[in-house]
Amino acid sequence: MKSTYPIEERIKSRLAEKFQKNVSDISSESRLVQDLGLDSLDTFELLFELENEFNITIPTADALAFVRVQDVVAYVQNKTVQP
Amino acid sequence: MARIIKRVVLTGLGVVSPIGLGKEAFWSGLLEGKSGLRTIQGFDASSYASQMGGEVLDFHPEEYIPVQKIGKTAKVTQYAMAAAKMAIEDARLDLSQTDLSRVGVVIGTGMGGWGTFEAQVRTLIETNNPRKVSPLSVPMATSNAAAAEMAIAFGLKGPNITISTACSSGGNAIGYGLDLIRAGRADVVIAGGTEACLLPGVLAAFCSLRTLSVRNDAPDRASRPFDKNRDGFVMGEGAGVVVLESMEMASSRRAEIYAELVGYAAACEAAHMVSPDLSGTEQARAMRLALQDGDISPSEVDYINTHGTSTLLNDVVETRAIKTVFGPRAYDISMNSTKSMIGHTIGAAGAIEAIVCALTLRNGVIHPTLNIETPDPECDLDYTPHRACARKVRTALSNSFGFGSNNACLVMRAVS
Repeated sequence: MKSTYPIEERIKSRLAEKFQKNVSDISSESRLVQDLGLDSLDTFELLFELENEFNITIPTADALAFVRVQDVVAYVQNKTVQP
Repeated sequence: MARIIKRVVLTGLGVVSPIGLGKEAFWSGLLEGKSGLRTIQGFDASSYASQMGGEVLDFHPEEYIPVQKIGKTAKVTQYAMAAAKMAIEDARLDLSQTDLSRVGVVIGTGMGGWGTFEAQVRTLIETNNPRKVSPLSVPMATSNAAAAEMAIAFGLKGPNITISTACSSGGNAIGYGLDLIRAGRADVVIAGGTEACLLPGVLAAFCSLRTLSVRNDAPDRASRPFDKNRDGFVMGEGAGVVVLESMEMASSRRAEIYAELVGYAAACEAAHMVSPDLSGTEQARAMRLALQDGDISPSEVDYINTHGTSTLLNDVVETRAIKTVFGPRAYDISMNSTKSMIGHTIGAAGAIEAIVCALTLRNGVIHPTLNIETPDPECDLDYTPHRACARKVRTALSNSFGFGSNNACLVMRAVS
């Protein structure tokens, strides 16, 4: 079974790259909109990158439930767990 | 009460060109007769009929645009934003003291964000997976991206218009900016043109149209407007942006004025997609309309920045048209072709050449036309071959003739 750690780090580093922040400034509790400042286009860009990086599909309806970084991590983790 | 038509002046200039960034480098390059044309470096063009271009080298977007925008804007937008920043700074326009709802943007571009479009289509075809197409494709590739990003960067909330009339886009953009100020829709318009079209798909398309020079062994000699041995144009990239404002506003803020933009005409030949009316009658009509718009008599014009593309048809037809408008006096007018040095920057050309007119009025020097080695008997006017020449210019005309037989002419006058 995969550990969540690499997925979490990969997502945080994506976000850090996108917003020119240090990975250490992004916590699991950081809110995507209020704390990190993602707008709708940023969100779609993030979904695009996650879909490609993890080879998963994220329907828009699912993404609407993402509030904090940890929601994204849990979602991706869940999608990438081998059956 | 009759409405008073506002006078409009140019107070700021910004240029991104294959021979230099900024008005000083650009102007000194022009006076030296520096060619910005070389074998294309951006991609392998060795299998193309025409392998040359006027690429913009040493362009560092982080010097001009917010760093978070760099990966999210196409090159065509970055050139425009850079030129706009230069123009606004050159005009010493303090935006914090300006009513931004009265500042408009008009940008011309022929191909727009084709660079993004080509790259994404390539990805789609290579992967056969539509999910690999970036969500940024639309905001980056849309034709009005440059004008929109410019508004966002500077907070400009007036009319925001993109004009696409092929090779006359930049001329029409500046002319439309004049109209907006005259009509009272804006006090200031950031106007110009931009292009970043040295791309595999665009180059192949223009090669198939057989409009480009194939003198691949000597790129710096390939653009030879008005020379008998010309064989087509060389495609260039870049942007030209000016600050246009009402004379009232420029005077009240004591701005330095390059020139007054007195006349503009947009006229369509309604005849052919790529060929001009061979008699020159239609191009002449556009020039006359622009002169009439500025209440300028043909006898007052002492300089013409020609469309001068180096294609077989353009140069001879344009010469014919100039003779039609100016009669025997055509021989006394100084002319040149900026495209002999930077190539044809399509949607940016008219704007870059309007900047050349402003600098010519300011400095009293006509830049040379390169590569006129064998005179063409049908092109026998004074195109300022080889070397720059000093001449005090009072009134300048800039010609832009686009595919779709779309003609745009601008008339500028020195302000005493």
